[in-house]
Amino acid sequence: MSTQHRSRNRAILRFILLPMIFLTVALLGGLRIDSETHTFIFLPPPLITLILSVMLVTLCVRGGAINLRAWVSSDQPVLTNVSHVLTLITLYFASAQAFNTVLPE
Amino acid sequence: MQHKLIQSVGIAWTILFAAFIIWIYATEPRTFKEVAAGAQAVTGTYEIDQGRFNSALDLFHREQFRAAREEWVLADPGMRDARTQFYIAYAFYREGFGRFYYDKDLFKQGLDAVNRAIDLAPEGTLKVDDPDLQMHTAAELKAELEQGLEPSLGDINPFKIFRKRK
Repeated sequence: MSTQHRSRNRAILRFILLPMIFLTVALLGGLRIDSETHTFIFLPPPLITLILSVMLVTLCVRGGAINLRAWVSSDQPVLTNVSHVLTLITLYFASAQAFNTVLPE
Repeated sequence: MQHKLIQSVGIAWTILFAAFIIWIYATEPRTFKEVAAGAQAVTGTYEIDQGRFNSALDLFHREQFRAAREEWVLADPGMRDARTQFYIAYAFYREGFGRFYYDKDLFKQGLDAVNRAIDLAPEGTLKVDDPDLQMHTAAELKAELEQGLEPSLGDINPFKIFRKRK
């Protein structure tokens, strides 16, 4: 029973929570609040952050932090592969927005 | 089976959230009110506050242009109603009109509002049947505002003081 719970919780973490965290970073990474008018300013990621993000994700793959074969493989069901690809895409945009947050405007 | 359900929910939720983020960055709302109004517009449930619109119209007819504009802004917080944006532009025009000179700042804001009205109008054509107005279409108002912003030799014509506000 506990194995079943563990498996379900892991699935929720991997397929729901993880993309949510990355997408939240992607949403808030470009958000600024105008100090005078207290209004939102949304800054889309500039090209340099997209390039840096490609480099970061490549580094993660080359460094072994992301095992691409384990994430996307022909042995896995289609739904799992689609979910993993979406998570990787959200990771990419979250990285871009994280760079966007720290880069001076 | 349960795994498949979790995966499907995860995929759907991720796509929805991603679409929301794209929409937010495309529309660039400035306040939570605008976010709500934008969401209402997307779902087709956006409506202006008709009571505020009417009270603004009343103020406009009494030449209280600034107060009228403030009421219209409250009536249409999402800036999604072409007619309201047209009236806001008209209020800028009437307030900015002067016999000796036009207030260029007000005319610029009027031009922004009328452009919004044209963008929102179906096929870019907007006609307002109000007997109090001399210009009934957004195109006429836009031309008038643009004319007021362009410097010309006519600006030094002394007979300019006889021109009439539309």
